[in-house]
Amino acid sequence: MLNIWFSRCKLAVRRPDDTFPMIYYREWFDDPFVKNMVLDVDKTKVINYQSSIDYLDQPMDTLKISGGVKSLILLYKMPNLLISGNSMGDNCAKWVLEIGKMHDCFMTLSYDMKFTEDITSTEEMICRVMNTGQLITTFRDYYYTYYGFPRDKDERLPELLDLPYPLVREGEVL
Amino acid sequence: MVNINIKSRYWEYDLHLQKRLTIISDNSGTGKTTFVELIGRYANKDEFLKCDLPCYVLPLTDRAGKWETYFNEEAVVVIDDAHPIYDLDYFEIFKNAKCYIIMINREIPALIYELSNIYRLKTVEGYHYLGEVL
Repeated sequence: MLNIWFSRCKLAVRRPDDTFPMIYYREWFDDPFVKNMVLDVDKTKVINYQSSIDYLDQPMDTLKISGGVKSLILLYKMPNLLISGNSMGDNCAKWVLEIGKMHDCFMTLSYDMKFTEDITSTEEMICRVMNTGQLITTFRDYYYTYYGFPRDKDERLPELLDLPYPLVREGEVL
Repeated sequence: MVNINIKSRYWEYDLHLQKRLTIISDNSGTGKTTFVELIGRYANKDEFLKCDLPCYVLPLTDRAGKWETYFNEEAVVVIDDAHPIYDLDYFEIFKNAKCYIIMINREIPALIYELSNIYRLKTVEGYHYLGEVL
């Protein structure tokens, strides 16, 4: 399940461009799910961990993919890391939900990411708000909670909460 | 108004800054971080980077005291992901700044809405420019 912390957090991976090259495995880029994510978000075709073809048909270093995709790959491959959702754009939202359906993952969010076009939609979106422990089941629920949340006042760290999962610090390899 | 232009054979960045504070907020993979890297790399090379004022990328690892020297200069300062500044009194910093600031961020506090212009970075066949105001 997707777990979201509605605030900024210093424990989170906030600069994926710095963190990703230090902790990634080369085999991650052989995974078809990762290749699909990079193709959809960056319009870049991954050949292997070294080389890719970008949207202008130019050769490109695979590690030059956008920060948003790097965050998505960390969310998918290292589920115990707390990832900053601010490094992901609106075009990453559908992949965040997809990864959330596969396994438990943790992210922070302090902007209104567009998970759906229609914010009053009652379609299913399952996630947990880590600040309060509230379980969310629809898009409408999510945006109702997000816009009503006093984000500027609440700056506690997730460590203070009694979570059933371990939260691994930035840079720690599983 | 300040213009910034960086051009290679295959792509071009062409930005016109209207206000002192310009915020670029957009999807992933549209070339925002690439722009910051180019400013950092070609800051001293007039043949590639064309701008009326000197350009800098704010080193976010510096302590807050050192940042003031950048903000008090007549220059263009680019900030990639300004979360360390949000931990400070950011409204005063942006209000008193003498430089033009380009900030690349998705989280935009309500306080700085009136100080800034907020854009999407549009791309057509490798040509990047500031698109519609959000």
